[in-house]
Amino acid sequence: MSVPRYWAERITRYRMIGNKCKKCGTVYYPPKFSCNCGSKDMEQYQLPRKGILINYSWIYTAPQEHKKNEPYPIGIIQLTDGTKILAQITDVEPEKLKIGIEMEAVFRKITEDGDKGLIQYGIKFRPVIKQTKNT
Amino acid sequence: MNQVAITGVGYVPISEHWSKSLRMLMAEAGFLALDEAEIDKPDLIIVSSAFASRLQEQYQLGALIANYMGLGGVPAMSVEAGDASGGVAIHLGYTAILSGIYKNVLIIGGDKLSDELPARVESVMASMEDREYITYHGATYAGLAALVYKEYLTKYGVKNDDIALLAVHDHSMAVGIAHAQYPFPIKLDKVLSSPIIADPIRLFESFGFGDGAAAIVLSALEDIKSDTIITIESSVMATAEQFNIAQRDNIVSFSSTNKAAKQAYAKAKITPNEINVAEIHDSYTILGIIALEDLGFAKYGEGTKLLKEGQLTPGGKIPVNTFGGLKARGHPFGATALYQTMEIVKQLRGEAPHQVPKAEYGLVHSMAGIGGTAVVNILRRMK
Repeated sequence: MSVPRYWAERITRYRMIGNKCKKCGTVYYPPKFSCNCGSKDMEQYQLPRKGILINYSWIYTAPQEHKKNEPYPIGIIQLTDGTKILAQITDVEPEKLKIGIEMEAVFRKITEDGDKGLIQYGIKFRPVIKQTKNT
Repeated sequence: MNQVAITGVGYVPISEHWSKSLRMLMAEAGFLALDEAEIDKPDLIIVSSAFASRLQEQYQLGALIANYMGLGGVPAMSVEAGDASGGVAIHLGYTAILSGIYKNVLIIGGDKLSDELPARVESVMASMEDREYITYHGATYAGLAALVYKEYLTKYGVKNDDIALLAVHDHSMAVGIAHAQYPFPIKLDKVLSSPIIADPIRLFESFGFGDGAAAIVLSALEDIKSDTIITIESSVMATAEQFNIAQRDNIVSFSSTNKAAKQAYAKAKITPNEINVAEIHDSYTILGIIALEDLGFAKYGEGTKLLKEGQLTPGGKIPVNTFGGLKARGHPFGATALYQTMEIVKQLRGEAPHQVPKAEYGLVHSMAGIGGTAVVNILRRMK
C-alpha cells in the first residue's frame, strides 16, 4: 500500500462517508460517481454506525496481509438506515457470533506492511456491548 | 453478416508446471491451435491472463507472446477480467471477426499460479473484488463465495451435502481426461470431511491452484475448408448491476450471468432446453449451482435437484462440465474459458471421452469473482 493511494480513501474509509443520489435517494458505500438511476447529482452521506449482522463467514485461508489473524470473521452488516456494508468482525467469542445480533462500528488497525511499511486503519464491526446496571 | 467459426483448439495439461514458464505454456497451446486450424499466421492475437501482471509482473503480454512465438508484427493485445478473462477474450475475438477487419484470430489464455506461494496468490486473487473496500477488510474470493453459500442454504433450505455433490460430479467427469488436474473420483464424505477454507466452504468444494494454457482459433466462416464446422452462434458479455456484493439485494443470483444468458439465447434464437451440453463456472460448488439457475437450466432454488437426479451427466437433461469442470479439470484463471470452449468443441465434434450423443448446441459460461463480469457463448455444430 502506498501513501498517496491510502490518503485518497481516508475520509470515506475512516468516517464511513458514502454518498446519496439526490434524485432517487439510493445510498452507496463506497461512494459512486453516478447513480444506477443515471443521475450524477450525488451528495455526501454519513452512514450510521450501528446495524444488524445479516451474514458472516470465518476465513481460514487468508491472503498474506491478513495471514497472522486467521481465522477471522467477515460479515455483511445492515445499518440502521438499511445500507449494507462489508467489514471484518472483531471483539467476539466465536460461539456468540450469530445472524441478527446488533453490531457497532469501531476504528481499528486493519493490517500493516511489514516492520517499516504503512499501518492501515479502518472500520471493523463488533457486537454492541449492552450496559448492565450496577448492583 | 459474417459468421464466426472455431477452426482449431490447443491446450496443455493443467498441472504444476515447475519446469515451464507462462510464455512456454501459452506458446505451446497457441501453436497446437494454429496447427489444427492449418494457419501459419493469424491476423490478430488476443491473450488472456488474470494474473500475469502480478504473478509474473508482465505487461504487454500480447506483444511478448507474439514475439516469443515468432509472430512479431502481428497485432496483439492482452485482456484481463479476473476469472472471466478468457470469456472476454473470446468475445473480443468474435467481435473482431464480425467487424470484418480480421479473418483469423488466435486467442490464448494462460495463468501460472504455482509461480508464487499460496498466501500471495490468495491476495492477488482477492484483488478481483474492490481492493479498497472489500478485499481491504480481509475478504477473500472463497470468503465472499461463502457468504453466497450461507445465504443460499438459508433462503432455499438446501443442505451442504446437496451443494457439495457438484464436486463429486466434476471429479467423476474428470476420470479419463488427460488434461485434467485431478482426474480421479472422490466420494461425498471425503468432500465433507476436507478442511474448511471459508465457513461453510470446504477445500474439496474449491478449485486447486494450478498452471495451464489453452487456445482457440476463430475464423470468418467463408474461409473454412474442414468437414465439421463449429460456429459461435452468439457471444454476450455483461457486468453486474452492483459490483459490490454487500450492496446487492439478492446475492444468490448473478445479474451478469443472467443478463448475458438471456441475450445469448435470444441472439442464437434458442431456449435453454435446446442446449445439449454446457460448461459452467464452478470455482466453488455453490457458484456452479447458481449458474445452473441463472443460465435457465433450473428454477431458482432447484439447481441441486438436477444434480441429485443425475441430470448433469451425459444422457441426462443438461450434461455439464463433462471434462471435470473448474473443480477437477482445473481453473488456471485466464485459461479457463479457453479450456471450457475447447471441451465444448470436442463434444460437438463427437471427440469427448464422456460423449453427449448427437450434441448440436453447447454453452460456455465464464464468470469473474462473485459475478462482476460474465460471458455466455453459444456454440453450434453446423455439419
